[in-house]
Amino acid sequence: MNSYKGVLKENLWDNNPVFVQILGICSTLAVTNNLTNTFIMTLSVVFVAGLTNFTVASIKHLIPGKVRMIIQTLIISFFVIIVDLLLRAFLPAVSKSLGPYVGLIITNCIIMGRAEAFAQSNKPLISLWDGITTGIGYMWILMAIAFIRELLGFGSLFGIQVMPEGFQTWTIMIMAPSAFFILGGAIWIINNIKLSKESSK
Amino acid sequence: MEKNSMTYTAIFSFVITFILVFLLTLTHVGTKNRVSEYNKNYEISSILKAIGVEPKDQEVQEQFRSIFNLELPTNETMIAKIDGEDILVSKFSGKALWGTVNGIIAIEKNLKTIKGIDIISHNETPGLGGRIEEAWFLNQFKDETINKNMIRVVQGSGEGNYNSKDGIIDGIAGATRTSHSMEVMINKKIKSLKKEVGNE
Amino acid sequence: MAPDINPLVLLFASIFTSNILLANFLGMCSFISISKDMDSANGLGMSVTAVLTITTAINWVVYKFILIPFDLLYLRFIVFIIIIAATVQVLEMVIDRFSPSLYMALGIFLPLITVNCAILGVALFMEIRGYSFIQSIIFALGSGLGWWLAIVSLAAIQKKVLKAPVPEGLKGAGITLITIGFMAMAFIGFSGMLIVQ
Repeated sequence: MNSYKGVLKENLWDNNPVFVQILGICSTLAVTNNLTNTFIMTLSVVFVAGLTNFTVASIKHLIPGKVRMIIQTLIISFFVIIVDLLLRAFLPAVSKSLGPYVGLIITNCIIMGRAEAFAQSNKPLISLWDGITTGIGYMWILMAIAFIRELLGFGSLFGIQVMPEGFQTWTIMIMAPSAFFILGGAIWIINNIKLSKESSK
Repeated sequence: MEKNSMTYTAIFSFVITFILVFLLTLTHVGTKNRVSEYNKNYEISSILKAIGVEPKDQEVQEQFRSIFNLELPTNETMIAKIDGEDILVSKFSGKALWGTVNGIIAIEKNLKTIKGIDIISHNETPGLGGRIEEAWFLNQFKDETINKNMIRVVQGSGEGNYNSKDGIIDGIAGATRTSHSMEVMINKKIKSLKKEVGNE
Repeated sequence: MAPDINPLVLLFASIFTSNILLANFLGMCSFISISKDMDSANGLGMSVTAVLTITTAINWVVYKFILIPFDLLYLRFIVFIIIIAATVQVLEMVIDRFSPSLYMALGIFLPLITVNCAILGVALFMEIRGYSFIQSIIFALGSGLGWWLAIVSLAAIQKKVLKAPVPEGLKGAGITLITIGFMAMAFIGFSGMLIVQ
């Protein structure tokens, strides 16, 4: 039904969860002022989305209709808690700075959305792939935003000072509004790219 | 059994919840020790940083033991022996904007100079009040003079006041409440230490 | 150890300076798609405020009297989300029973609210900051009102924006996000009113 390559292209660009579907930005915009945190967060989403899709696709014929959404939510919560526990044990400093935002992956509309739209009607392995690629589509655009925010807001990348001594940091980049502006701007640029591709066809 | 019947729904929900919770409990129990070990070492590293000793990754507990002559940190005032001097080291805490700030303060026995402080935990806004844990802020407290049993946190340039003789600390730009609560809780601690020491 | 915040300051801060949506980015999904029309915006805002206050209260009680004493903290995500889902379900049934007209207006929004990150987010913040019961209620109420305020403001602004000459690539999501960005900046301005941070 769906090819692996097709799914990849869809999730990374054509139907990107963030700049096309505008989904799942809640939890992560808050931590995109810092590349390291964004990386861990989005990696967690890749993990949770992939495994949730795989699980849902594997047991979908067993789930009774009435409780479909709640069971899906349960499965998502399960994987998120696993991520949270593992982070606390093996990357505690990151876990501290992510705070409640790891837990918020549960309400990340993308994961629920994919489970409903894809895993419910596809085989386990390709669903796993869909979850992973959706997560990666999510990851690359958020990392791009974080890159700008950390570089201009802190003068560093991944915590390593990159900007020269006299660089005056743009405090606005650390604060909430910048994430909205940058994402809005990114959508503008990407839409223009798409439009020009269309018109040159 | 019909998939959509009440009975099946109930049984299915129960079974899947049971399985998931079971796996979670396994993971939780499996990682519990790691987490508490980490928390212990984190606190000890904070203490070491407050007294100006660089915590060495695998050896923090050893370092702590040799300086304090104690197995583990206590909630009472501890005494560190550095370069023949006695340094009082104590946990302090206080209410800041979004929650409690927990920290460590190290003061010379004569209570005239702060050796240093470190923050163990807080709930302040990242990028604003949360900057109390940043080096530029904490370093201002190194060897800071205490005037009339208190230090002051003021709205300065926000770059850091490293003049250790004036007893003045630069607050965080944009985080007035948090900065002020730091002043209040540290001075409160100094006062209580004075009472403690005065009684010896 | 509940933080020592004046209840009025907490309320004000939750609505304005620490607005759950504009400062903490929670509750965005439904926000962006629904904020096109005033009536839906109002309906959604009201429902979110009600659900927030009720579920946070229940979550606090469960947290304090069941999760902590039995050392079940690692299950809090699952427990909170189940409570939220159950509350929304019950609320749906109650509204349907007692006010069919209200149900007609709000009915479609309620299932959306279950997956609204703001609700779970408020519960998690309440837990992290160690609020007392009263503080949790104030925080939840304030967050709901703040979310409501934000969504209604956005709907109003969107009406004007739709009439303006927006560049092709920016139409839709792009301009909405930039609008939200400006709103977020404006709300930061509130922090001068109270010495909140």
